[in-house]
Amino acid sequence: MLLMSQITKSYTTSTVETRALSSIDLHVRQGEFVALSGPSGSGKTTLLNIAGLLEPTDSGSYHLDGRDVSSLSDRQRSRLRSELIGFIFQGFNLLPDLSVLDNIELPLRLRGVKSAERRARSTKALATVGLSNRASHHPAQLSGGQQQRIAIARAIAGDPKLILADEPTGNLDSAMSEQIMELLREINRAGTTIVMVSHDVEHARRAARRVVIRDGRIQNDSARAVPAIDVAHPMATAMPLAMT
Amino acid sequence: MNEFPVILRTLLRNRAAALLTIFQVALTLAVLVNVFASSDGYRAAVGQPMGIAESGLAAVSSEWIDIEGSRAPEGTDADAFHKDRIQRDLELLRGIPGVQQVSVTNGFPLSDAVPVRQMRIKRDDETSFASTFYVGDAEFVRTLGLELLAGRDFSNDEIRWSADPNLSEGAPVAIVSQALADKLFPKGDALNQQVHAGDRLLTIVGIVKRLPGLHPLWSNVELSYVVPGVRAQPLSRYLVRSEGVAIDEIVAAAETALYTAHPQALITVDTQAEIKTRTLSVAMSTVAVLGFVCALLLLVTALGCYGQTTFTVTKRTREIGIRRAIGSTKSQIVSYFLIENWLMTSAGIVVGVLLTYVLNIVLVQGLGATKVTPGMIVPGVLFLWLLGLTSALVPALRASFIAPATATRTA
Repeated sequence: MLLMSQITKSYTTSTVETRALSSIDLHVRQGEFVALSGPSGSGKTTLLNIAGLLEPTDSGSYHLDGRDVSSLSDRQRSRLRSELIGFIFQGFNLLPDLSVLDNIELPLRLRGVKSAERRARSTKALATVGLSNRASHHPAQLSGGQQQRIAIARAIAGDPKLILADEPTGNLDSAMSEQIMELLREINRAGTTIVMVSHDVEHARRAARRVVIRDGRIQNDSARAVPAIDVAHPMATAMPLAMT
Repeated sequence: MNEFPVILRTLLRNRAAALLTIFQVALTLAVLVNVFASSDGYRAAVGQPMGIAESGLAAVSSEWIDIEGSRAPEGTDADAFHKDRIQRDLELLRGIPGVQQVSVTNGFPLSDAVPVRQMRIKRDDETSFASTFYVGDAEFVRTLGLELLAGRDFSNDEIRWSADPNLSEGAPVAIVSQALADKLFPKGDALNQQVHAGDRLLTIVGIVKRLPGLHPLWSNVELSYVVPGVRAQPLSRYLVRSEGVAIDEIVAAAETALYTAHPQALITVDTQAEIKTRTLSVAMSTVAVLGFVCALLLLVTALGCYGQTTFTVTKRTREIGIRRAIGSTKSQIVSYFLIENWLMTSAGIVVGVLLTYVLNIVLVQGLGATKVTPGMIVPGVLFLWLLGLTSALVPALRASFIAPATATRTA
């Protein structure tokens, strides 16, 4: 699903260059639930941004769903994000002026999905997160947990192959966090690949695979103990074991 | 356009900022179109034939001035003195080579210096028509080149001399313009009818096709009448018609002749075309000033649209990042802000069209301004749409360069 090789990323100001990621090799297979953890400033969000095509890399190669995305144009990257990836953000990132249903429909609108299909998919996604009765509400009228569930509905409405979640429980209390994690596990069980950044050790531990990042490098990857290659992937045969 | 309903709903939830732009566009359209209508009316008035043979017509004023304020030289009868002076002036003017006709009158058409009287059918009628009041001799109709449609011209017997501005003792007859005849007698039977002109009862003995009145921009410019007579006063006015000689030569010759005859008199000689242009010059200056104000207003509106979009883009930086993250392309971001601006501009245009007509009704009724037509509004609407979109384009393009990673980088 996601294959990164020797990814590096730096941020440069007028005086300082900060290396955010160094020689990252990561292979996430279809259907995996991967938790990225590590201290603040370790490069988790940068890695997630690169995985979600929100930022370009400085060097290295990145294949997403079998496609080399390094040379894609901005428009192609946008289309790929729209069709392949669902995002869940720590701050929910719902658009405050849109109703719940409009928020969920937005990625489908951007993709050009027709009105009836858009409505059907959004309503189904809203039902999945258990908030059908809130369709006409606005984000400000909802609790944090409800907002995050709406954000999850928005992420799954387009049937993405990959969900990238950046601290999805970071702004929630423990009870609500548990509900959100359970929801993500359900989505994962249905076959959607999930890569989640989490500070919460407990939540990270519950993921099938845990990747720890420190100082821009992968310090520990629980999958390395049992390396497995996605044989269907075109790059799989070229992948050294150390990269998985 | 897929996002059109979403943009509309977002705008409706943020009405306050949008209303400012809507009001600004509405006001700009209303002012712009009305100024255009006025200037269009002025331009049309400048070029419009008013029913008189303007070329070849000169207007001569001769004012006898006494520094002590006397009406005539000491020891002379004022009426007799001025009658004699005017008769000599007429002879002098008729003697200029190329002069075909000369008429003595109380004012020049379209000069903004002719008296106006209320015309009524009955003395106590509430309905009256403000009409330009000319006093003319038997040469008046011919000198102006008026087309007599019905009735007759004045006879020499009807021309009486008087110092009275109203010519109360004059022959109680009048020649009226067709427009005035139609107003007074819509059935078309104005000839030989009696009308009240101010305090005088006059019989309509002739109807001319057109006789231009006080001011080219006055809504009643076509309502005019002339009574026979000559006013024996210190200020006398003559209309001079030339034939076969350039009017400028006639003007120069008339000045020389009258100055020679009356060195102490104030002589002014113009062509009729110059008089009309001078009358309109104040209005045209007003149009120029209003045009400048319109240019400023358009600049302010453009800056307003630019500022509004820039403000919205800045306020929604994170939102734009989120949109980009969940799949919006750069062109979709640009479209979003252009559609949003177009919606506000369009709402402003709808309000502005209504405001344009309201303002125009006030201006037409109050100042006799030109009526606004749809043909004047359409270019204004198209221009404001273009102005709005152009002004919003730069901030919209700037918005499209907001990185999608903004969605995860800002709190």
